[in-house]
Amino acid sequence: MNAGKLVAQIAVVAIIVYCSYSAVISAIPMNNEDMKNPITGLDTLSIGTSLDGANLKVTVDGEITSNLPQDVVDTKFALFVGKGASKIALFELNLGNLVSKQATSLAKTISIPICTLLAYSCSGVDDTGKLTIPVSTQIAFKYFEWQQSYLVDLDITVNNKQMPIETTVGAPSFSIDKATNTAEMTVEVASGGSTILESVLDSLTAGSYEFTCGDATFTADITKGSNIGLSLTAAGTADKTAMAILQEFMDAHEGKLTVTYGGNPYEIDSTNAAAFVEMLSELYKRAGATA
Amino acid sequence: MRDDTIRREESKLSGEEKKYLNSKARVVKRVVISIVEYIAIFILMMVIATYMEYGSLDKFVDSLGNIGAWLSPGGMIFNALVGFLPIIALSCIGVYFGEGTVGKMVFGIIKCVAIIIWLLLVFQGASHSLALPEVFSSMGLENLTVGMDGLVKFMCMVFATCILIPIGEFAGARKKHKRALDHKLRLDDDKDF
Repeated sequence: MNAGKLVAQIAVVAIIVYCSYSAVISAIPMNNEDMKNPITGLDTLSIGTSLDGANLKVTVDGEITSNLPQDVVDTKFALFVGKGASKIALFELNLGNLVSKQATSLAKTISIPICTLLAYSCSGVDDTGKLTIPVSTQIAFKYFEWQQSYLVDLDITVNNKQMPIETTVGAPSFSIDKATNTAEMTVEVASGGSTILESVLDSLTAGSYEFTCGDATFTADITKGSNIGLSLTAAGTADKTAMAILQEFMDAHEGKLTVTYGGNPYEIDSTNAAAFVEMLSELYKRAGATA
Repeated sequence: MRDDTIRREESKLSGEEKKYLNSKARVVKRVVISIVEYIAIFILMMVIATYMEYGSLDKFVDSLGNIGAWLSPGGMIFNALVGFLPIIALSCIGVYFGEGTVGKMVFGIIKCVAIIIWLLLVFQGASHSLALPEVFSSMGLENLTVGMDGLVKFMCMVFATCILIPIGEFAGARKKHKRALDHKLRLDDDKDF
């Protein structure tokens, strides 16, 4: 038995327990109610969508309250349509610091190119004709301060959610014209749905939406009756698909894409442009293009 | 009978006393154990690496072909094991010293400091974060980044306080070391005559 070693070991354990305890006590709510609802107000956020030229404006408004005893630092919350490399941000909230016991107001507007969003509707068609679109959520935050550093520092992206959309006529129909490299998808979607894509379709008036870039055109024809009819057409030239033309344009413009819509040019940033091209190739593939 | 026992105790160092004395045999024993441990850790890491790469262990034998890549500088095994080598070497040399010697205390302190330096270097190289292997993507987890700054700082604090242990051990075993050393010197003197 070594008394000196024993005393030292007790001292070490005491120091570690003290440091852990003091960090925990200042970061974990001691009140049961706060413990159960660390952040309140998320369900009262209002999310509105409106059209702005070739873009869809998503507006998030409201405030959330942190009931945690410490500030939550560098908080970020983002929602994407799609997953992996081909996802596009529906909204990205950089909340900064959620100050302890205080309401943080959120007001954020982001613009998404409609053509990218619409192109997604061809990606999630399953064999039974149901449209399901993958949705990814990203949450990032730092918490649990200890000596000016954060013991919890996470950045998580989850894509296990699906956004189901009711289609009323069963499977969508696809067609392809290989002579002109034109791929088409037609589907009917029930109106008044609650998902984001459905509300986008609800807010678009009937008509033809044409986006062009060089020789490539992407057209969304929307008809409104008891159901919403959606017809997507991507057209290239005799020897090139629409994706090939867009890709050439993006390669020459640092990954960015400029589409003409209603006579005006709209720039699409590189992330959304890449997602758009990905979705167009999905449309061609489903329509039966071989290469 | 009783005299016999006493005489045997006097003429030989007890196991308890050997603990307080420097010993080369102990180093050899420790080196052998370390090599066995090293191989066990190596195999375990191969199993984990295979699992991360393929999501199952079916291809364990195939993945052994990748050893070259993992062992080369910058490879996973190279970083983890070779990075740890100085600490293993230090602890092997450290066992030469008996309890209560200044050498044992100094080596105990150096060991803690070495672990702290190792932690700082390894996580600096990994840009302060651990990223998720591919296998989790099937569970819908696309990306998970864990910032290691705070955790590394906390671990450094833990090992910094652990420096107290060799100091305490030295304080507690100092007298026993002296007694054992005296006994050994006496026995050595007896042998000379």
